Amino acid sequence: MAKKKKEKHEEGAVPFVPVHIMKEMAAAFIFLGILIPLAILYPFEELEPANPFVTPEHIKPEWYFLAAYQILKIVPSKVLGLALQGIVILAIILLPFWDTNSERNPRKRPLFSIIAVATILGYIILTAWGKYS
Amino acid sequence: MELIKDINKKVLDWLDERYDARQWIRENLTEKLVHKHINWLYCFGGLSFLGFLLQIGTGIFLMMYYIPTPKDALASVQNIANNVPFGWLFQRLHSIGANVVNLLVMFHMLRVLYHGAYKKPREFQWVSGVFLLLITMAMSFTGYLLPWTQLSYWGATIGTEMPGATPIIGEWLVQLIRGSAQITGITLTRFYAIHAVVLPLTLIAFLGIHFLMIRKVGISGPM
Repeated sequence: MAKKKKEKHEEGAVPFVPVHIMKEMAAAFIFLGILIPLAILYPFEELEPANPFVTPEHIKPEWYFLAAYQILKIVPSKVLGLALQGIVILAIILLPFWDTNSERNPRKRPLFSIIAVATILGYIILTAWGKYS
Repeated sequence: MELIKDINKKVLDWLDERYDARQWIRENLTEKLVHKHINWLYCFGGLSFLGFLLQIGTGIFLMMYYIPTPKDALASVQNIANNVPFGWLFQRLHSIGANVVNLLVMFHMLRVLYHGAYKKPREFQWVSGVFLLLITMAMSFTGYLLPWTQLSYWGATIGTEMPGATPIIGEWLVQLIRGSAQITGITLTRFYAIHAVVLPLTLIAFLGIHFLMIRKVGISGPM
């Protein structure tokens, strides 16, 4: 079994344990080393209790929803905005089935790379727009 | 030192007799090969998983003190943050961690996108991964309501209004998500159950598929 697996790799393949796992563990400690100080630097703030009778003036979703929220804000029809979101999500889910070119290097598949970068930039711009509008 | 080695050997012998432990360790860990070019960028998947484990751990702790009613929710969160020993740390880790996990999953996704690692034979690796991101976001959304603050209440109001634009079933959908016409205590318990049970179990199922498939197919080779 182990032998069969070996044949699939190029020269100089490394064992998962200990070579790769050490990298993962180092990354894990760096991650905790960032997260725990964040938890200390951003302490719990006293929060305003929910009041169903008072709508706050500026209410915005968390950053990861800002792009979706901004789409709904800029597309005039709500149905259209929702459909647009659905289409984008569906296109992302189905990515391996429409980008079937076996070339993997991003420099050798410029059309796809442009689409990908445009999508990522679009997400970032919509997020910033949602945040600062 | 000798004693530890001795115990180690005895334990492994015992496990070997029953489960072929040494062979399993060789096949799955020490002789399981990965490509040499695998670098730090490949750690985001593992980190997302670590982040998820941290959310589960801190989440279970929070569940021990959290009360899912409109009257007590915020007070119980404040109690965790102000009175429970180390409660502040668990509360902060869970709340900040949610943002970090979203970020890590996105980084992982960008790495896979850059390397074209979703291509044949790893198509379903990608599909299950996108679902994992969507579940992570749903977890964030449902969790955000739980402290029952002004922000979380109105955030949930706006968020649950969105599917209302769906033709024909829109209103029914909003009613289904909220459990009532507005965000009420029913919505709170509903979101709590979804946040703490339904979504984690779904996520674990997708993670299982995600991991089993990558074990089977292997991490993608050099471009």
